[in-house]
Amino acid sequence: MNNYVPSMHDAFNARTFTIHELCNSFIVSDSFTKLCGLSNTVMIGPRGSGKTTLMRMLSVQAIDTWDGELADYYRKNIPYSGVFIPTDRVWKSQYEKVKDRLGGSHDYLDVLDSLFIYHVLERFISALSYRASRTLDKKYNFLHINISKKDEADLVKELSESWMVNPSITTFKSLEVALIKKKQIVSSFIYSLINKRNLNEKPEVVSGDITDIIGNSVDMVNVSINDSDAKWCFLFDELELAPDHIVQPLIDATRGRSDSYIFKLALSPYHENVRITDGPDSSMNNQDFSFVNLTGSSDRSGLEFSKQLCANVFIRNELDQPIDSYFDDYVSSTLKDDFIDLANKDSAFRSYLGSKKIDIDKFDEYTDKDKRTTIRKIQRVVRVRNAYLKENGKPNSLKRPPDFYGGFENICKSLEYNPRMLIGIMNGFVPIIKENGTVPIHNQIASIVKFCNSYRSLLSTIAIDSIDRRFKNINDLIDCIGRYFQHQVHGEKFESEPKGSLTFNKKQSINYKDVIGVALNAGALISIDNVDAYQSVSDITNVRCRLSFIFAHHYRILLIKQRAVNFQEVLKDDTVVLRAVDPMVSKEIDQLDLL
Amino acid sequence: MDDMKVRFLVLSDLHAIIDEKLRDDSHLIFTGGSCSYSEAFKKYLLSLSVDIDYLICAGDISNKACSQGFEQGWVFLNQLKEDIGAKGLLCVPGNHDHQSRHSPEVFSPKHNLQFIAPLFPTNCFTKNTHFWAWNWCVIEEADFNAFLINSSAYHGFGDKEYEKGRVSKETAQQIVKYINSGSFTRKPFNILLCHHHPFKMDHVDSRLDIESMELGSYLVRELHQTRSGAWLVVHGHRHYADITYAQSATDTPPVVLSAGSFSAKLYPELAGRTSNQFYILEIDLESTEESNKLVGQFNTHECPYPTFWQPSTSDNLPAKGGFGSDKTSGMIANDIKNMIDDENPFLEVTELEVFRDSVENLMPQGFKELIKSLEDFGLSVRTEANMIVEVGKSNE
Repeated sequence: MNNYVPSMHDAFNARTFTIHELCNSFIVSDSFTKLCGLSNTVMIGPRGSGKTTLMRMLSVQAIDTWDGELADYYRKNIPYSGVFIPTDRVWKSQYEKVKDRLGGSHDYLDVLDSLFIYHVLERFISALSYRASRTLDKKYNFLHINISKKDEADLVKELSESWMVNPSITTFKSLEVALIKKKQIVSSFIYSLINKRNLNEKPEVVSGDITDIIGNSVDMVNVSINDSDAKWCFLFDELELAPDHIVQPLIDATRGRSDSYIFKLALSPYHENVRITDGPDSSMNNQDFSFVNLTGSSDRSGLEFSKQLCANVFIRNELDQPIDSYFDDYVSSTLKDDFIDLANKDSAFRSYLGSKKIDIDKFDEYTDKDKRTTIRKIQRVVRVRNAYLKENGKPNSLKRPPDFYGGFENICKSLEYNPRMLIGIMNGFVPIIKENGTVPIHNQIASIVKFCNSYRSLLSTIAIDSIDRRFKNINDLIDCIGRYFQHQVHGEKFESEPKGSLTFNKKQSINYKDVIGVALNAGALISIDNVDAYQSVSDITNVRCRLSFIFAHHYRILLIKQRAVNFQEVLKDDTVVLRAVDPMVSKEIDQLDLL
Repeated sequence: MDDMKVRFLVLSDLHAIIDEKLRDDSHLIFTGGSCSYSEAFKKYLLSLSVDIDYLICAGDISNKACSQGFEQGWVFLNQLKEDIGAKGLLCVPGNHDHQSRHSPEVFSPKHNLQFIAPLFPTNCFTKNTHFWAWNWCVIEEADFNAFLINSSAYHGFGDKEYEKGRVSKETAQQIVKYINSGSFTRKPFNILLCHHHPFKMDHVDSRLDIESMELGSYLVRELHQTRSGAWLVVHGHRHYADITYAQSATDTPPVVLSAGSFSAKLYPELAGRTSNQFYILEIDLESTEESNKLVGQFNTHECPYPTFWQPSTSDNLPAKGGFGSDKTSGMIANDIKNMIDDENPFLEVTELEVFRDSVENLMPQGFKELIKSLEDFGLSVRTEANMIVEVGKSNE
């Protein structure tokens, strides 16, 4: 299954930020507060939703670098040393290629596994080295360790013996370098294994259960630093890019409870072969387990976060007025005008009004109570439907989407409060504000359209394998869904409650679950309902989802949660089978390696 | 220069061409006045954000005496000087800049160089007149005197004279006489800039070196014996980057920088041993004046592929190095060894700070010698950018 989803805003990826850049631009959100807790955690979110930022901010280096009052609060209340562990996307292709060559069972599994183990150990020692550094000019000395050189040398000797590495000097830094070199040796061996030529000598590697190795290593360190209560938090980021057999043991480990370490795992919303809840002793039955969902933030918290994030972007560009003041708002028509206008040109609407005994001529006589139950319920549909109809009742092909898709709040909503996209779009507004003082509504709309088009192009690069010629890539899938929802709002019949979300059959979802998973991971589909509660990452039948609001103007639909329809009805064909093409194992990728 | 340092950008052996037929000779191809190689270089140089005080070019601006190539290269150097805000441009001609082969159109090897615009090799008509008449001139700056030598002055005369450089005994004595006269003002250091190498470089390739500057070693020895301050010798020609101390009867030998070629395509025997490079030399004025020997550091940048510049990865020359250290590598190694014992099994970067200047001012070979000495003491060393960041007992 294709877990790699390209991002149109890789330039804003927190992975590439320095610690200082990360800390200077960080905005505390509810999700961060939840993630901080002293419990094993699974965090899910699509690309660009801020997983890496949150995980990196919990690293001991970031906590020690972060300035400000809030930072002081977290420094006082975070009792563990965060070890940030990014995932190397090469691992998965290496695993797959070795599997292709040698099958699932062979003599080199320990070497393959050791690559990940050494990576984790290297990051662990990097965090330890930071805490114990006598040479760094640390600002807050967060969880600083005083360790004598002799004790450091003794500990490095013991660790290096048990990890089968050979640092040239018995220092933490030298051990870190030795681990990096070991990774190179192992990687080079795997490469020779894949290419079947000049097979290198099989390296001696650490082997065993990853959690046992972590546990033992942490214990050795804690004894040496005379702090048996010290807690270490291993922050595994972008696990969607890691091979399944790496991910599952980490999740399984969250079932148990260790006094010395906890795991926090960042995953995309859908991960086919990963099981969190199966079995009576699953993680979810453990009260020390928590779940953070970055998908589908509530408007309240999402907007609050977006305001701070965007204000931060503007302040860095010397724009320090309230964020709303930089955005021209659209001129809203009255409810009555919309109703009269639509009734004049849309016979379907007139029929609907008749069936509901709503008399437009008596609009002003209706009480608020009347309006609540009948009129207000359909006001959004009326506004959108009206905007796209000409006076003669024919469809109106507007040159650009109506203004009501603009305004600061709608921009944030359209971008799903996605920090990476928000930073991108706000940076684009800065020169406009510097020239005009505000962002005119047409510029706002144009930017949303541009982001949407880029996003659709990106989705077009993720191929779908299907004999149904309608579906060549994920954008085709989104388009099929979007057109269905569009018809709900703009069809011949006036739908007072158009369908605008999807559910999936248990029986038929087997035919398309991984492409839905890819769309979820890309953020093109957004899961809704109980986003704060645990959500399975392997079963889409538990998920109700809608289109990302970034497509709302494109498909002329509403920026609200709507009624559900079964995906099977959208497909209009029970036999359709859709499979995501996994670029990590395709032949095209082999060729791309050559470029 | 507020920090008592003078910084030079050194380029040599440009071999600028305008003729596509000669593209096997050089990367510096000017087409319609523009050149992607030089543009990429400028962009990279500006990204380094280094304040350069002077630009030095050790000759062979042109390739095979092409006058249009010379013109383009000379304009490029003058424009570069302006772009980086340098106070001066120190330049000499090379053998490829002289029209030393007999042909019906050539009546003087140096004629084109004398009449080029902007003025060459200096922007002063009088100094240039002296240069073309006597094959040398002096440029006096606040912190140094630069002696420009035309080591190709006799090309076009005599049988195969063009195969080597030359300085005459009389020229050498004329310069010495000038230095010993009242016209000369002593500065912290002096520069001798010439195209040909004053000392034989038999180690460059498998051929015997017959191209060096005749009487070059005599010239350097005579200049050094004037006791007129520290000396820096900069030359080009061999396209092989190297830095050494000159043979000297004192403890303050001149530093000799053999600049590699900025843009000539390197012949196979050289290609694996050096690269297309430029240098930023930084002279520490205070230490130089105090010790009477040249003290400073250099940074080397290379272009392994056309239009892609980076800090040097070559041994000749490495990305960083120095000259004029106050200690030998053996002395530093002993001092470090004496600080390490069972209770203090390693030294960290802060503890090694006391050695920073001494280590950074070691020549590249001296730095290698230091590492070897430490290893001979049973120590292991971790280095970053020509500095020791960690040293301790080897883990057995």
